[in-house]
Amino acid sequence: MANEGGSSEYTLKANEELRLDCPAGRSVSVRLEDGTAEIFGSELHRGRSVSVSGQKVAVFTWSGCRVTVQGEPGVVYVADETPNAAYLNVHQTLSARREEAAKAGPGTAAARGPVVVVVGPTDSGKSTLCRMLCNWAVRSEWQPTFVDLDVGQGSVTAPGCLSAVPVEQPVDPQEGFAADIPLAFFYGHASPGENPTLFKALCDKLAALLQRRAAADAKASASGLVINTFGWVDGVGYELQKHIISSFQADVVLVMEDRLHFQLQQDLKSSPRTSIVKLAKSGGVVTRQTDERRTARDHRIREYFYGTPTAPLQPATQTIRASDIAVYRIGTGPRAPSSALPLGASSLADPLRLTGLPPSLDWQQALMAVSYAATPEQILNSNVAGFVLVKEVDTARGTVTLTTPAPGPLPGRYLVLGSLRSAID
Amino acid sequence: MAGLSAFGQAYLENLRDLTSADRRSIVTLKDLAFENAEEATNVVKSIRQHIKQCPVAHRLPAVYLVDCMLKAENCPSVYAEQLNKSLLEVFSFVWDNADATTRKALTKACKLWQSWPNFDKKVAQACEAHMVPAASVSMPAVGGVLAPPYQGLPVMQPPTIAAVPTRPLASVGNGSYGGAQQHAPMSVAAVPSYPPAAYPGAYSYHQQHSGFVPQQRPYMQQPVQQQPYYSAQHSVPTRPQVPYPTALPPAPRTTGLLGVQIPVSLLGQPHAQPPSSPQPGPSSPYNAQPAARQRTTEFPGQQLLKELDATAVQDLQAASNRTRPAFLDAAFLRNKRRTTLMATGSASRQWFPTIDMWLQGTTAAPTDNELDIAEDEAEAAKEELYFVEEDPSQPECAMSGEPFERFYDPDSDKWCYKDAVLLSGEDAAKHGVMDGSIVKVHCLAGAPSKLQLATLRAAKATAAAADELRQATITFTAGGGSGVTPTTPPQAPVPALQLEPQPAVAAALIKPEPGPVEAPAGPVGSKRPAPPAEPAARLAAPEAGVAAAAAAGFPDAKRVKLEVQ
Repeated sequence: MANEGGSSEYTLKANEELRLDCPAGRSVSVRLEDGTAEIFGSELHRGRSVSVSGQKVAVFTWSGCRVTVQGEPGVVYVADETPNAAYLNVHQTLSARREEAAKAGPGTAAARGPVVVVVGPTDSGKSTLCRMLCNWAVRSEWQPTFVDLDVGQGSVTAPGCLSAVPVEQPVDPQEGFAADIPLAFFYGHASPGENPTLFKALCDKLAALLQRRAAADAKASASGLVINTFGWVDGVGYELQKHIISSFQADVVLVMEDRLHFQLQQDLKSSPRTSIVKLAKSGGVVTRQTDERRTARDHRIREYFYGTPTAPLQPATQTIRASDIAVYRIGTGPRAPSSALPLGASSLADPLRLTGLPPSLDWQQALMAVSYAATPEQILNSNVAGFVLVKEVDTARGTVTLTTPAPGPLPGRYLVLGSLRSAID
Repeated sequence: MAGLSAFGQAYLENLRDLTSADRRSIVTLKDLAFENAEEATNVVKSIRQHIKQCPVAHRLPAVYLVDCMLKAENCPSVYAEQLNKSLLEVFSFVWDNADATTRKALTKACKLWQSWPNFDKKVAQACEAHMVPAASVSMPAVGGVLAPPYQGLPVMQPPTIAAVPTRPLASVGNGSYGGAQQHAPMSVAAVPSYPPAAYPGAYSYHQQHSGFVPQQRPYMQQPVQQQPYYSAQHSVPTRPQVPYPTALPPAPRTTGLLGVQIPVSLLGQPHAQPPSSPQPGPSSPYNAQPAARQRTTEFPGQQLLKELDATAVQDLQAASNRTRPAFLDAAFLRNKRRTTLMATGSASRQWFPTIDMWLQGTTAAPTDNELDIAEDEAEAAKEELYFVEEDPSQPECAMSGEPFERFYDPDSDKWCYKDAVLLSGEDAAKHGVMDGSIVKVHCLAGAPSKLQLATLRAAKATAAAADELRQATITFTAGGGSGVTPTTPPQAPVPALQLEPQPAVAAALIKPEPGPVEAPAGPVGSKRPAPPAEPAARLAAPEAGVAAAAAAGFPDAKRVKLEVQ
């Protein structure tokens, strides 16, 4: 390990990993000099620097390697104990199942590849495991679909969404899944507990669509799904996890915690086809505080509009007439005047009730989804085209200033308001 | 120690009663701790405090408690973490102040730690390392990391001692030996053993310790199943089941120490290895050579799951070698496009596609990906070749105004413009430049291609269908059914690739027309018809073309083959 000019070299033995915690704002990059190495399953290429600024990453090697770290990460150390061997064994079994599925006649039940749900408490490395499984699968010539149900963080789109994205390339260590094109449904809250009924409904919708897709594409079907979930595993959270498992007809459940593993084993006895596998969490997982999660959320929203340092994006700011858009809230929201209720609005207790909202200062800083719905009734069934961030509301003049991802008109008239806000500018 | 909670205090009181290695007390204390996982910090604190305060003879039982907690399968992670943190401190404290007999017991316990999942390997190794200085006096380290028997051990059984450094090699490695490592070191450690009467506490503990064996049962059964797995790659065949005929320790001691639960065959394990066989050191490739495993659609058992499967690693590497070139190419093209987009200032996030477009875009024929890449490659190759003979009257691109980059072409013996094309006739008209203009290739790439026209048409069709539906909804009151689903556009974007652009749409794009089908209130009010209108309005700036495709909701640049004629 030589230290000269802010760059240090590390030699890793087989099955070791270099863990880096790079605080935001410090420029850090990793370059593979020799051997093979990967970041969460995505291969590094020799001689090519990969920026890891503002991230917590692990450079793992199956065969030994030499890497150079440029810049000054906050924490950097070599760990020789990782659960990666177990994770890869899971991948190996999944691959075998995919092969079986690919051999089976298209359209039959056997042609369905593994549907993997990863469950575990917060900060147990769920999304990292999902990423590894997706990357290994895609490197093994499969095209799994990554489904992100972690509404609090969201690694595919902005937070608050249930989304799916086919993985055809290893996930870029810097950009994440963001470079791909997702199918997203807007739930609107950072916790599934805000409106469990809506969460379930959207889950069912997404699951049904993915089934339609699997029926149409043999390879997608055989490759299966990798589903990431939220870290809320007791009470209603646990019920929702079980709903996810049944809704997507998961046949593999990877559990990152003992108690949860036991609980699921008891409760899923009735479906013996479901394999429940307990996995250890990696020692590299860092516990995040609530405010760190909020910051991460904000960061995700910023990334949606502004991209990453390596792939910056230019959002647009536009002021439009408030009458050109119609903002709806799903479920009971505060201060909805009865006059704003759509025709035939159902009972107050209905968590799927749609409420039209008049322009108000409440909208400021709210993250809204642009729905593809052609009528308000279709909002629940429609995916979203993207998001806008409300910058300013002028009720007197009847205008709204929005940050939109791209210039030009919005692809839909109906916007959905949740409880997500962001102060990014 | 300051800051012990009430529970911690109570626990400390209970610890004081732990004067001998009585299994029942240990288990009770363990359970008590586990039931109060939220008190983990205090429990661990109290254990540390207890060990430092209690009489020397009571320390070992406390270490056994830690040992027992970490070995428990249901050990809450918070305990595992906390205990691992304190383990080295506690262990070295006890070790440093222990007599030979206690050290013997500590060695025995410590050697097993590495093979248990809850123990932090590094901590366990550090503990072992801590024992070495004292031990190496009489015997230079044989097994590298492992501490050989310590000084003062009555050399009662030379054969067994010889076996000690050899066997645990398995546990030093990455766990490639299957379940065998779980119990093998234990039996090894147990065999050399101390005189039965030397330390009653330890004795009784170990007698009781056999009670732990049932917990290990699942592992013990595994060698039988695993037999096929670790044969091929190992130089030592069929280790577990061969009892060593001669050097078996005296029977009374075996049963006395370990109870009947441990099969004699397991005790034979260490001896089964021919003493003369070459023993690689812990850092040798021997350890890195894991067992080969058959591929199966069933998940391996909990223990096997944790072990490195060489086949899996090889499979992954072989597959990666096959797929890597394609990924690299795709990444290269993606970066190239991105650079172009960023240069023209139109890199914005695209709107996501509608459900229908997403479904169509993601259910390509299985060969689609390779096809795409092949096309991309062809395209890349084509791009490389674009150059036009220098024309001093046109030093800049007719579209973007950028100056051309000149280079000398030895084949034609002329100076040329790099990445440029000469537009004439129809092409020039299509792009709105004078006949014979020289333009940069990337400007053309930004102009609407056949594919983009097709995409826009598809978008328009979707919009029309949506309008129809809206009409229908208005007419027949709020209709059921999902909104976007029935609006399948007649022309899918991908099949549309082969179609010639419809004159009407093309016209709409070339000659700016006011908003087409429906233009109610302002720019936002007009929904899907808007995308076609947008590029039309901005066609004068050709780089808007890509943004236009984006506005039309086209999935991703990677599926767009920007055709350059």
